[in-house]
Amino acid sequence: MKNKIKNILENIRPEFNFEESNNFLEDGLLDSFDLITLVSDLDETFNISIEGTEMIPENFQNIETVITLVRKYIKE
Amino acid sequence: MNKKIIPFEHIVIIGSGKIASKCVDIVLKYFNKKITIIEYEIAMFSPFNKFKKYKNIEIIKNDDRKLLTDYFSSINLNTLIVSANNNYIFKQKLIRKKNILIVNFHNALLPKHRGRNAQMWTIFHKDKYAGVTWHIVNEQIDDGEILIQEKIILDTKITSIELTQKLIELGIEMFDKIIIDILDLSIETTEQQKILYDYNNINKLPNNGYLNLSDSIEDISAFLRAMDFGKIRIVPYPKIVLFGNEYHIISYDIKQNILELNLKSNKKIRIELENEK
Repeated sequence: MKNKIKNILENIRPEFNFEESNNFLEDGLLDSFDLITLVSDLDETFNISIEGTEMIPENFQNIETVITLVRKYIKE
Repeated sequence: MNKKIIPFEHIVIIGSGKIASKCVDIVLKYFNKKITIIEYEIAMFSPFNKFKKYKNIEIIKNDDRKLLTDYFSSINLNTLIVSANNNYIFKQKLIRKKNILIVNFHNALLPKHRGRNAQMWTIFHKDKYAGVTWHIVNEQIDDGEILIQEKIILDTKITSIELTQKLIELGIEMFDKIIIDILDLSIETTEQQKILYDYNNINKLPNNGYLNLSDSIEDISAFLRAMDFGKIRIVPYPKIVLFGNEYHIISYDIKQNILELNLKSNKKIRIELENEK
């Protein structure tokens, strides 16, 4: 799962190294529109539907928080 | 431009999101005096934290309209105010101040679609072109002299969230084109055409938010795409009335003349639409 998420992030912003960042938004790696693309790509890749209410900074800080969010939907 | 003031000593950028943040980046290329960033409607994803390291930048996060008005009243330096994705309405007194010039980004080809959610109305009305306008702020809403406009052909499949993104990128590009001329006050402006178009307030929705199945396929598509801001609820979900019951439309798909709707109650419906003769 980690590799799939990493690939999605790198497709959105190929110029950044997401593994080096602990806060994508603070570090300027992603903006609000990138998050929309990210959520859409996560939905499609993992066949889930992330709620709009989950689009909060805490869920998209780094690769680990994104994994936690996706796992939550896969379990459900 | 009629206003004659000596060079700017202060730039204020008021707004939110990517375009406001990129305007700061652009201003920093050409201006090294005092810059103030105002985040009026504090967004969940604030893009301004990266500017904390700059000594000449102050960041104000304030959603109190009165405090902000007081702040603007206190400005006495020659100041350029850049309004980008901003819903604070500037007071007449500020607009008239001789030491202040205010420029605003609007995500439509003014004078069409003044007011809020312009991209939504552009799609709903099936305009041939979408586009952006940077203009001087005067005492009316979205009415001031135009600094620059740029249009794009409106894709007949585009949704509001997709168009929003495209127009923001275009707006950033246009701001980069005009900023030097604004700063040295050499920019030429054009009066807006005096055509009476509707002004759209925040609560106004296409068809009052209701899908009308007796509309043409093209109009149904335009309605659904206009109301489609993805997972960000800029406007409420569109609704449909079926057999006297009202349902929210969570998602949709149109393939040729088949309309598929996913409704909030986990219902899915499939409707065969009539082709126009």
